[in-house]
Amino acid sequence: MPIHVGVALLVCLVSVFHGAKANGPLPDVHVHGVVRDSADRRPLAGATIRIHPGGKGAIADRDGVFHLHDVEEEPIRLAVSYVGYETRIVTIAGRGPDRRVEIVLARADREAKTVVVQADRESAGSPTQQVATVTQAEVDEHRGQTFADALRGVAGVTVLQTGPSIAKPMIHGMTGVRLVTLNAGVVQEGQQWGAEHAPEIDPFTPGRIQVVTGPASVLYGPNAIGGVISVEPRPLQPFAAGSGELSLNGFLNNRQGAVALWGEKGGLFGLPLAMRVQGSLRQAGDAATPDYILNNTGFQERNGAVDAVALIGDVRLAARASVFSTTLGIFSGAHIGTADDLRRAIERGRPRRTEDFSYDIARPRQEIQHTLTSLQIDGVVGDGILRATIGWQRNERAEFDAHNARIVGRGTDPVERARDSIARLERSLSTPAMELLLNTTSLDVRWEGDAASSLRFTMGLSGMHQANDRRGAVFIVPDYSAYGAGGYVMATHDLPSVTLSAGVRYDHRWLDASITRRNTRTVSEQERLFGNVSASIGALWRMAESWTLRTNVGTGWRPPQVNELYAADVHHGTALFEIGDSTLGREQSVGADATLGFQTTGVDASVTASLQTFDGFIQSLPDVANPTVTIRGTFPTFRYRQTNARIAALDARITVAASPWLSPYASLNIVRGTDVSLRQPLFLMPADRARVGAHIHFHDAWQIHDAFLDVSFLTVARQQRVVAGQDYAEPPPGYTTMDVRVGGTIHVASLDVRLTLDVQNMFDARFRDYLSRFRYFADDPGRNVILRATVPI
Amino acid sequence: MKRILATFAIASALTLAGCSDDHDHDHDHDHDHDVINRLVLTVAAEGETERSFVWEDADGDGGNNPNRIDTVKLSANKIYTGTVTVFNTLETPSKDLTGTIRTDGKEHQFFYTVTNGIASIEYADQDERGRPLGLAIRLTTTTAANGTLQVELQHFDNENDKTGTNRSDETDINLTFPVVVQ
Repeated sequence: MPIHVGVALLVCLVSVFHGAKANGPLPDVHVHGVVRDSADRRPLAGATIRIHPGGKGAIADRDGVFHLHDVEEEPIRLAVSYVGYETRIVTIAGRGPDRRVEIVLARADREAKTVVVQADRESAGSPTQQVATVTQAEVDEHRGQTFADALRGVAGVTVLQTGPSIAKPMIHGMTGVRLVTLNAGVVQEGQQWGAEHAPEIDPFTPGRIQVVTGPASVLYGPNAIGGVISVEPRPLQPFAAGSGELSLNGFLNNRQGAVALWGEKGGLFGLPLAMRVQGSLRQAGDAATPDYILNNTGFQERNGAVDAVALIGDVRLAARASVFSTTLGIFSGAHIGTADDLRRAIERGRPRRTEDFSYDIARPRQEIQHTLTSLQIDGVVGDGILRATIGWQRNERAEFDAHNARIVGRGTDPVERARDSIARLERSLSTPAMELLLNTTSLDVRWEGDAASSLRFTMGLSGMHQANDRRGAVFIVPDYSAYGAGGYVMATHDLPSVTLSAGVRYDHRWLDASITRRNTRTVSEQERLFGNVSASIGALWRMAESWTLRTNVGTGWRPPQVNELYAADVHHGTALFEIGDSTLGREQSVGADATLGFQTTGVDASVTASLQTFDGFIQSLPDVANPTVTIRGTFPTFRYRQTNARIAALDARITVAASPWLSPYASLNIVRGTDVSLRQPLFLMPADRARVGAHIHFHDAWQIHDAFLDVSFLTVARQQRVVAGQDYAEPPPGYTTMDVRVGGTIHVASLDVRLTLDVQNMFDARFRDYLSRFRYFADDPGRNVILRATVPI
Repeated sequence: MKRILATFAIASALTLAGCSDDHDHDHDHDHDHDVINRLVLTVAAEGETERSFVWEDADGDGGNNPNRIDTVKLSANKIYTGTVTVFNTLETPSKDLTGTIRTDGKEHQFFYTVTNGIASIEYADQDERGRPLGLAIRLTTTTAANGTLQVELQHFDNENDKTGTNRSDETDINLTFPVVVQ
């Protein structure tokens, strides 16, 4: 409660500030433009644009378009650079808060081989790692039903879906406990272990998303064994001019409406102090397949955030408080009692009964609330910058079963007994089957600095405390308390054509769990300790003018999660018992990857090959010989086990600016997971997929600025690599869908309104994705028409 | 802009402050949810004393497997009347849940499956809508042989889904007794 009151108070305070006379310095300026080749005028995707000297920067997207917000300097000077081109310093002429420019770069003389190295220190990965960045414009254009939808375009990322409202990002077949999600610099701590537990992040928050599609354990600790997804809010400058934005989204398929609003202002009270208030509401009803409605798949989301930034001398303080809260329905057709019931549902091929469309959210459903409060302090220490990040998180999750509650009243008198049974029924219906409250406090201190002109160091310490409080009848995770501590150092050395990096980290985890024995209802304490070293080395080799090669080798580990150790219950929806193993040890991994990049005028291409081997890979496998026998029947029983595994992946992508306005693009993702000990494929690995499309961009078309048309086809193959009989149903066949997007900025009533019309699954194709957990009983949603409007206010 | 922000501020204050936070430390929830963990089949025939056979999983779902599965012993070529009672013995005192199934008979139906042709089973009761329920049955044995008797209780979320012959997607009971016909 204190946090909510705090947020509400801050919201009110900010509106008071807004009532005050704006007395900050000059109004801030938005610079946007396009970078092109001087000879053939093709867009230079990936060109770096920085405020000169040494200010913030932006990277041109695949149309060469860039945006710089809140530029405070005057006159504005930009340093524009691109591999193989002469770096230019340009001065932006003109007045007013909104300036448009076209910058042309000339090819560098082939003899002059001085390549400017522009290391981006805000990169989420190590300097030698491949990091995919989803820019603000791309986030805006792809914002979908869930946060994870914005990541679908990133090579190597797939999405594990539990109905339309729950989506978990997956990197090379790894999800949940093998990925770290950073939310504004703090490691997001929810109930990540569940396949039906999505990251608790407002899809309207991100200003930028970075994805490291490889191990990043040295910087982020044991759980980053598979990769990192870093969600960054829009930057906020202490002297930002008052500005805001209203976003409206409409989704036809599930009749979803979403509204988001933010407003910010700097120079409050004439001080270097800025604040931003943000909020969003989403309301969605039942989604629809081409043939029927998926009942009870609606959701309601209410999110809010307050950011504040202040400069005190040389110290920068950034505080953030955010609340994410959602109530979401779980598809009623997935309400399955036992394995026999599931078999009947699969044989039927579609839900038994479909009701009309509704916004109602009945049972089964989830109610989730996540609050994150963080404080980030940056200051100059020695020759570098010291950053301390403190995070407090509270994750509340209540899951309501649809199971019929058979209630008998107590008491001797029949009337009293009847009354008691009604009271008990009502109480039972309003009581979650499982309720989890997870509190996490984290502290991360990181120092980044130069030891010599070409040698940089990053070192840090991190600590974490977490406590979980379980209630209800479901025993999947116990009550526990955990502490974590780690320390790391990473060095980067820049040579004329090579950048080398090396890092090492040590982590220790301490876990104290209270295990309730179901049969005796007695509680026993279990204490486990885990610790080990993670290390990585990497090289970035600028082989030739347009060619780069990145290679990384790293080791990582992770401790077993509490559910892997102590789960002992049935998973509703999949009708299987999952039993943990309290003797599991740590999972150890060694991985290597290589990325070959080719960037030249109009061509941006890369191929990444990676191989990761695991010693003690933790997975739940069916124990056919020892099923769980209950009065409701015999349940398939999965037990957590450790095995040796190998995951190999290939990601390739290419964008070709064939002309100033036409950019065809293509991408390919292949993942191969193998259980080396049992010589069989790993369960639930993404099927091979490819996307082919074309992006047509007009700088100005009629009255539309930055107009675009994007047509793409996604083809997903059938997953052939499965163990016969391990799953209830054969993997679904492959499918192809077509997506079309058109958009642009129009000037209406002195406002620049950005509009996108997005048609997903244009031809309403019937399909089931192998990564959809409802593939057993229902199709995936059909065509969706999405209209997005963003208005600066 | 100012007005939008002010409106938004009030709306946020209302919605965010409205979220409740009262976590009472009540670990008693699970007891409100009654589960069946014991089924008793009682049979009677002319000239024989009434006999009861028990199927019980004393620690409920999960944990240890069932602790008691009686063998149903019947005589050949006889007509038995059978009744089924179900209990929750996880609580003290144990609770008879048979009445709640009879009350909600429209949403429930027992299904009986006998192997090896040792007997045939007919429904001897109906729900309010005249569809079979199966708390009471008539069991006719044939020749002396061994086999099994599977007892299933199906729950229908919507009473209109119950036709008397079809199954639902929610099984409340699915257990098997060994049967010896002498």
